[in-house]
Amino acid sequence: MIKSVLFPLLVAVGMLAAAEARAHAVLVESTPPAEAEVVGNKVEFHLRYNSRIDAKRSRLSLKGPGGAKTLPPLQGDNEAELVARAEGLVPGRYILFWDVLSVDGHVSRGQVPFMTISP
Amino acid sequence: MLTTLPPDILAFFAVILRGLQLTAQSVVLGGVLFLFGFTRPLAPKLGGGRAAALERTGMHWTAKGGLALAVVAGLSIFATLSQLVAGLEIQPSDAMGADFVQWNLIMALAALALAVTARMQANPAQLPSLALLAVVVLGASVMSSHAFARVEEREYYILADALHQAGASLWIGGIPFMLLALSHVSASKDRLMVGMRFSHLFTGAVGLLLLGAAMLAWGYIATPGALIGTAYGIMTGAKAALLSVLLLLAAMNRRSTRSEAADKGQFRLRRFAEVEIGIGITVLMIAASMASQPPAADQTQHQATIMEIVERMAPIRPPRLVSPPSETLSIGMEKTAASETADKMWSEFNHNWAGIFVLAMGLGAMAQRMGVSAARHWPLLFLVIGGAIIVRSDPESWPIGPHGFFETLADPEVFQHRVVGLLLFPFGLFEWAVRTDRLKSERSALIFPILCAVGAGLLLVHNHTLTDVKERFLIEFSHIPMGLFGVMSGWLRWLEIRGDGRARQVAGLLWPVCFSMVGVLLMFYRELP
Repeated sequence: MIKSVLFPLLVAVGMLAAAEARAHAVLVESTPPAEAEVVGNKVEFHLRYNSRIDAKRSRLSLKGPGGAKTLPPLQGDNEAELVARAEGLVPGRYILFWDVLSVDGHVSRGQVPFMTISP
Repeated sequence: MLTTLPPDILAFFAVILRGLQLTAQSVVLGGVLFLFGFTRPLAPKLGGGRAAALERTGMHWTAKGGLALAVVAGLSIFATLSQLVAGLEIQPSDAMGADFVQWNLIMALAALALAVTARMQANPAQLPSLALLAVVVLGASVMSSHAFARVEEREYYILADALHQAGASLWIGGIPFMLLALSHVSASKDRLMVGMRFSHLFTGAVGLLLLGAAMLAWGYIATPGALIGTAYGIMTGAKAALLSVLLLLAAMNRRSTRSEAADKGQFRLRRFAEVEIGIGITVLMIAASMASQPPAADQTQHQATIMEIVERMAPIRPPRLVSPPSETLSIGMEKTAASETADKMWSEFNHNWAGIFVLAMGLGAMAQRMGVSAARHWPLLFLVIGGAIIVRSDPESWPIGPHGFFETLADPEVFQHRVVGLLLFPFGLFEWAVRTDRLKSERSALIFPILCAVGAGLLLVHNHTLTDVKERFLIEFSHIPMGLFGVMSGWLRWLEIRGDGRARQVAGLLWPVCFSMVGVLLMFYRELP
């Protein structure tokens, strides 16, 4: 009797908190910065985080006027930095979506919106 | 199948699994402390037969802890793989190469080997092997923490984290083994010897814990503003508050180990130890939740100031007793400033009314204690809260919104609220049966404090979003004192049921006060500035 009341309640209380979970890598700095205007059709992205990132198991994708495409991220100057490059961008508004895995096992997500304009 | 699980649910499971991992790890390290620091050195005083029996039982528990740790580490690997496969669309075989997965694999294998070693026939290599495997477990745990992910001064953080985890595990995990030892001795001088020995061992463990904590706080928090104005900072504060309670109990226990007259039969010490285990696990769960937060020092933007927190927490207006009309909410339409304000008013109304009922229950429990017979029905108010949660938690469905009652059940949040609301009915009825003597066993009475402590503990564990960081932080700040009062009311009620003498009296007086404080905080809960 006790277990039949206690267990479902424990599970339920646990479930109630479930929707709130988030992970923890913080984007400290980005090039281009959020809401920046970039001149030309090429962009080199540098994303610096507060913790070491597993570049091989992280994902960057770019959405804009030409649709969406995945950018293969590479490790930058240190393990907290990701680098990627996009070319052939038409002028317009883009959003870089980042999904990164920090080496302590947490997945974090975020985005960097920016504009490209003609030279 | 993995890809069907929502990432947020997976991330939450990861936090719970980390908490369970720290708990199982504590049992393992506590067991090794018991063998190395108690049964072996004290064998001559305990007598050969009794020392051997204690060691066998200690090994048995340690093996169970190891097995549990292996299972939890395995589940943790599964949860991480699921996150990587579902969230990042990485192939499972590739995901297996992630550092966290590898360290958890090492932990699972070491824990399994430890369990097998502890179950073997006694042999000269057994104890050194257990110690070595416990060190591997601790090392793997440190290497799957913030410390390992730091960019700079990594060695410093790894050392600090190792000291902190070792101290916490040896202390919290050692307590059940102290209770085990106490249950095997009957003479007064033997009980005092057990108490004294563990008192010394725990003093050393607490020293490690505090040293590691100070080193981590120096690096991860760095400034007073970060301690107060970030989720990581206030969770550190919650941990420190519960640690103070643990240290107070430990100081009282120390007196129990000095003379039989101070605590006959070490009865109080044993009851306090039960509470220490419960609060200790809560602290480990908070630690697990903090592992998924950015350290406060890294959150240089969006820190709330003391004035902003005081402004939000101050009860500057009465509870919201009138709900905004449901048609003003942002149900199924694009959000506007007006509809978002209405949403927050709706939430304030729900919280404030829940607070009134929780306060009424706390006062009811006090009145019952003072002999007001009619007040014994106070647990029935849980039914009112349960009903309100079922009806009002989802304004989009019947009877408030345009959708049918069952249409929106596929939404996990709606489903969760409805399940909790529904389950408050048997919970309320159960405690009501206890209060009205329909259920008389002590075990039945313990359900209320356990759920109270677990529910409040989850309020402390619950994570904070990384979007709209400061506003969410200000909204959720009140969860921390609510959680602390809730945890305390649960364990004080536990002491009232299980304890005796003055401890029982004081606990009986205090728990309804703590419970009522949760109600007061809910009554003045605000989402609007």
